[in-house]
Amino acid sequence: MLGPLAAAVLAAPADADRGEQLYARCAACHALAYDRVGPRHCGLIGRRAGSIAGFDYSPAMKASGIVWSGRTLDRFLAQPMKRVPGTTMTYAGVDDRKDRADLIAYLERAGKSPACAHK
Amino acid sequence: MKRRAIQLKRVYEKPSRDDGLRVLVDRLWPRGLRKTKAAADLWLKEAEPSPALRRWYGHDPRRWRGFRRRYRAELAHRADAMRVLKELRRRGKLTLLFAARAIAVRSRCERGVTRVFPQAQTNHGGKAMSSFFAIQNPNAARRLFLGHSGLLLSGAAVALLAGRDALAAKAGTSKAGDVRILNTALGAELEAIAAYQVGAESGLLQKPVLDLAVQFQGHHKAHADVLAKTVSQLGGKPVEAKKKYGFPLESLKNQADVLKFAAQLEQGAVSAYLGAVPLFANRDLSKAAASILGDEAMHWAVLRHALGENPVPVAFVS
Repeated sequence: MLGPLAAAVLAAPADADRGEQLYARCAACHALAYDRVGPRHCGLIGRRAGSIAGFDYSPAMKASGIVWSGRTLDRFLAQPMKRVPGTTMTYAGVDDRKDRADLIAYLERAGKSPACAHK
Repeated sequence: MKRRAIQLKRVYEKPSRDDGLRVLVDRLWPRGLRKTKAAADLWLKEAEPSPALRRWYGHDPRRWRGFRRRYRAELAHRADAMRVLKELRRRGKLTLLFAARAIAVRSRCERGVTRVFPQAQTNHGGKAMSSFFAIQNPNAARRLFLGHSGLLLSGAAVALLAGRDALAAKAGTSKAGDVRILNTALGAELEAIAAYQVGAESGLLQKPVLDLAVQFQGHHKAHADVLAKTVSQLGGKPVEAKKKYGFPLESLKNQADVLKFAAQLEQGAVSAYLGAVPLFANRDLSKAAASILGDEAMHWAVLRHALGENPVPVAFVS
């Protein structure tokens, strides 16, 4: 019975506006345009993990070999500390697949927005 | 609810995972015992009989009753030590450790019974010893404890409590993981302190909002203080405040902007603590993080209220 519902949820297009709401969860440590406890998110898509000059990454993140994409972000955000043991992103993760998809859609959109024009 | 017992053990016995918080109650460090071997979470020197009383007693059985009476009198004057023990017991299982000398323990959990345990046993564990001498003295015990109710632990004491995983630390990497979580939280708290400083100095805040900002900053300072102490307690190095934070000052033009900025930080902090609570190996740290989460959720609500928004927009935080 739940099969069709799950399929419908999975098939729903990612919602960047909803992702922007969800991004509030990240605001203790992250901002789009400047480094905080966590690194900035402008330029995230396509960036090699641990590569912003001057940011104090964990050795684990620097050595992770990850290049951030929708796919790698989805895996990381589900369980950051499992995906990169030793990361300083000590956050349990975003459990819900749709939440992650929307969040990533927002990050992709924000990266192309004026807020990230010079970052 | 089942009351948790106090267990007594010689410090030379092998520590067990079931010991809970291990408190050494001898005045002198046990001879020939390394710190790591003792696995004591806390050393409470003040709980032991005074040297003068110990000399007087001299393990002479004829002086046993007198020793008990005098020791009780001494304990009545050591309110701080008893307060700490009482609070620790309230928080979980407690094991009192001693090397050789007689110790007395007052615990309301055991129906106000005051127990005095002489050295005697070595290899029989706490249970055998705790059946040795049980003296009914509920009135004295009750007086002692009720006299100091309503106590609040200092931040330092909370840090001490949180550092009870001396055993877990030896068992694996859980301590390093917990230190990392605490340090991430500490970094965010330090930034929040700096952010409120910017807000308070901006000239954009009018009373009473300004007072609120200063008060909330004070809470974040208290959080940072406890987190840093706990990191140290666990053998880690607390992160320090950055020399410079990249706050978007150009976007803060009036009081509402500052409030919105602060509300965002507090909301994010609630989510961050929520995401950290299930990660700690040491559940006391989860509890401590949840305690901070509650405080910062209140900040968030009050800031929303000050902005004219629904202060509590959802039934669950995420």
